[in-house]
Amino acid sequence: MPSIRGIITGTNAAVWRTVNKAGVPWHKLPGPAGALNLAALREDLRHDNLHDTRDDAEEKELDNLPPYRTYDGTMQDPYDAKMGSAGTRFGRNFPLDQTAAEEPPRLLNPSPREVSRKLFWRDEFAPATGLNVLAAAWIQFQNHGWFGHGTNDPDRLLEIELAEDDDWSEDSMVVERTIGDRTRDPEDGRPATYLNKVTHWWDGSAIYGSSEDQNRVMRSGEDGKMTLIDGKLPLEEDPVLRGIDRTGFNDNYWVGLALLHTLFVKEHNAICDMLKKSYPSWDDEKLFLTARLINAALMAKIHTVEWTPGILNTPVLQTGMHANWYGALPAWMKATRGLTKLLDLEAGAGIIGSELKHHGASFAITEEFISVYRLHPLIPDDYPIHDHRTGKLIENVEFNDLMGNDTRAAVDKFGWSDLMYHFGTENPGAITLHNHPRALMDHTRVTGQHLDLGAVDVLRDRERGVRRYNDFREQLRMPRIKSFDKLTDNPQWNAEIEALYDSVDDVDLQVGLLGEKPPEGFGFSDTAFRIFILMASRRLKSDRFFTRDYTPEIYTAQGIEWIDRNNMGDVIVRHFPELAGALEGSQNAFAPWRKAGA
Amino acid sequence: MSLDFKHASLADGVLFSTQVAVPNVVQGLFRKRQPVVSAASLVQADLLAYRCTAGLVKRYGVDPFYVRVVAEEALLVHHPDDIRIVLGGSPSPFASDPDAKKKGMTAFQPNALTLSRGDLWSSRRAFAESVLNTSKPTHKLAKGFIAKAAEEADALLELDRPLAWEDVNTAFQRLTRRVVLGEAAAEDSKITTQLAKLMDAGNKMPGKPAKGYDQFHALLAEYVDAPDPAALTGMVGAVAVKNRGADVDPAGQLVHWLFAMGDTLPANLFRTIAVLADHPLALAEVRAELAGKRLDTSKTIAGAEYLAGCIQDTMRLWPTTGLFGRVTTEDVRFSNGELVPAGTQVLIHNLFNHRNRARVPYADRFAPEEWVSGDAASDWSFNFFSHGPQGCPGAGLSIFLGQAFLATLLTKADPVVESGPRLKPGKPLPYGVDLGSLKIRLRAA
Repeated sequence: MPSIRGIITGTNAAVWRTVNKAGVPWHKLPGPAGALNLAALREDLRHDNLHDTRDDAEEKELDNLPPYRTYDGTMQDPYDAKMGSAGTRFGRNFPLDQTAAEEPPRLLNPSPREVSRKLFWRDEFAPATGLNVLAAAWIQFQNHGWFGHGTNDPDRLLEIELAEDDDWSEDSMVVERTIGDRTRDPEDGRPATYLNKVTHWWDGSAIYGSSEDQNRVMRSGEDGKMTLIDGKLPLEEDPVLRGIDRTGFNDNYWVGLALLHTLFVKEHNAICDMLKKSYPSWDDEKLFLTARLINAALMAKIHTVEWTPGILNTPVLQTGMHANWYGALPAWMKATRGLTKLLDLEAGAGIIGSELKHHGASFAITEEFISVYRLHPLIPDDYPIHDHRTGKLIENVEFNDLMGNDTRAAVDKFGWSDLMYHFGTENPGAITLHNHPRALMDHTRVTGQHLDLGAVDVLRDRERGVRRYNDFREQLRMPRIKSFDKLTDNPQWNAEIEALYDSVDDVDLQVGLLGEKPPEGFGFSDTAFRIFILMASRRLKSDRFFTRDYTPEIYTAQGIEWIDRNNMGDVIVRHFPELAGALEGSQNAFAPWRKAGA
Repeated sequence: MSLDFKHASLADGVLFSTQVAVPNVVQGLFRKRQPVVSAASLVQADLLAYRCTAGLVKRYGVDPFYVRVVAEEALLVHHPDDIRIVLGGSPSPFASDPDAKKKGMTAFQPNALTLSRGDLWSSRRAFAESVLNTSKPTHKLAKGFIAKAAEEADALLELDRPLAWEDVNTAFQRLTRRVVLGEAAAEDSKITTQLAKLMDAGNKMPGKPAKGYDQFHALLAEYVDAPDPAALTGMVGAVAVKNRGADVDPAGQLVHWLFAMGDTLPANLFRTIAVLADHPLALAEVRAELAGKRLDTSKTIAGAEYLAGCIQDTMRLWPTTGLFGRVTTEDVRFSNGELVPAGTQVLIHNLFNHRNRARVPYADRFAPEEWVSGDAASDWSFNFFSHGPQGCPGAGLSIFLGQAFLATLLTKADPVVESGPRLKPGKPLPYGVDLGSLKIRLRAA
């Protein structure tokens, strides 16, 4: 028999399908209607766009579930010990027969380098005026906790030929293929899959690591705390990684990540102090594990109710993301647990503390999700560093001065306060065509590889079988774009795209996403947003520590309160009180802060 | 942005005001109003005050929280880590002159160290530390002080009646005059009476020196100008000149010592006698510690650590200052970033902190050994002498005088409680001990 909830959500979805088909998109609807439309879209996405790639899923209730997040993400799901753990496969948002990898010649056609040169090249920096650079660093910080394909395969190379007028410093651009899935028989006839080197869960693995061995070396061994030396993370010992923090995930490291990794390690240690004050008899391990739960949840809350409404700045999302965490119903109604449980309306009561559900597929970060989170245009090229007290310019530096092996030197040179002030007060780039950071289009990694990351963005989607733009939209039940002149509202861009592609159906996903005019107030496209609303909710809904185990017994009452009472601004001011003035009056720490002297 | 401590509800503010703050005021902030104290004892006001704060702490957690005291919100700080921030940060940014205290104390000691800030505080602190020999193991005049204390104790032993609070207080006022002002003041009970009147006036928080203060100050100045080399006045001349100038007001500094030694210390000692009367094992321990030793040496007296522990634990169990405060001189951030604005009253509830069952394993029993071999001495929960830069500069001398006095009394007599509260082991000790109802017979040992 269908549940009351099933009847309500099913009816809602059917109504909105009709409305959307009539050509009225959700973001043109008034607030409450828009919210209901979004709920309907999410229902359809849950039904049609979650596809399991695993063949070792289990369905047996586990004994002795640990009341904390394990180091490698195992024993997290109550029925499937391996689900979401490090080293398991990425899932998909499209049916598996729609995930076949592209092979040459299509894989390299049109040339990813040409796509990058002709469509991504930043002629002039286009700022996202509603955001600060901290928002850019934040999403990279969070991504690193969700996914990582690991070191690429040095034995399987892809060579991108260069156009005659390309001034690339080598004869061709060589890109290592993504490392393959060694758990698979290559002859099983199914599309390729890839393994996540980090835990899929929203568990702060970017700072805590994805294995116990990795974690232990970052711990002080006292009072649950992580190691900080003079307020900084310890450095890597490997000469290749000199100047880079030893932390849970330090690929593509730069000052933006150093700020956030250090900030949330400090926050972890502050939570340990808070817990020890209430539970003086707890040992190092218990303090660590509980503090990690709280810190990870705080980051998830900040992402849900601050970063997301910051980048998707519309009233519907402001309300919707708040509802994802807290629920839309007033507190007195949520207290009537019987009613909310009976209706099981997560929009009303919030996902946090609700029933754990996977919606038909093992929880896993998906390749399509990774593709829509290629947000390189957020990164500026120029970094004028100012004194946080006076606003006086100290020095103009470039992205390359702040990254890789130069990270620690930059931190030492400018200090946390002025760097954080820069990240808080300056704008990131708008997520659009012709706005990729030039530095990343001519980028030498710490391993010595020389790459155009714009080209790599395009190549990886094709290599991993993520559909091109029109097919991608179709899989999300969005209308295909019929002609080049409908891709963007910029005729010159449309002409540039047409010059590169034989057919509008060949247009790469990244090109389509960056060219698409976003809904009013949005920092990225509606197409990307569809994956976003599905996966943002799923990261919470599939995680027992955000649902059935989000309780005072697991987190402590003090822990739940810490999560409730603190926001990003509080975390910054707690550890950098000298920035309180810059943040004064700020409604969202990811929006530009007040400039000194302004 | 919400880096703020929690705010207790209005109803909790009313509760705190009526059960903690107001009773603390009406019993007399500076000089206890004995009839009111006795009445409060009957209604177990101290128990209610403890329960009130314990309930609030349970509700609002281990961090400081704001609670409304009558019309104004004050920050109640109760965890030792936070108390350490406050008292470790005195006099700046946590000044020890909140409004009520300043208005009251100005009546009888307008130039007190505890009401001072900045450079003047430093000079007056240096004056006090120099005269009281704060940093020395024993006071330079210790041997003479032992003799004076023993004489006063012997005089009490000769009384042919059970000891009442007035007897102990009178003896100690005399001892205090001898120690602070010199032998010439031994019989000058008038100056003690004058101080009592001024302190009574202080209870009303007039905010200005009370009538008669100038005359009282002039008498003190006469003693300072004719110093007794065997008393604290005799130490003034050795203080560095910059720390005993007119702005420091040496005579004005003596007032605090007179009431702390004359009123507060004997109250604690009388309770110590009472609790030892009902704790025969502890009494035996005190005697064992002194057995076979000459009681007229500083080494014996200062070395009587268990006896010192008895006095200190009595001070813990029944603090004479139930609630005290600080005021922030500037915006202050606590360790988790919480902002406390300038001008905020900060309260420390000794009555609760000293007995906090959630933190103190020996909360409600007599535990002198915790001061000898435990960690009581380093616990910032216990603030009968305060802690930090503004910790009582006379703490060492005070305990020493108490040791000297009790060493004589307890080696010569068995104390027996004839009337008043019984403080027996085996059940939680009461939160209040009414001195007015206590009578103790000293039976020759």
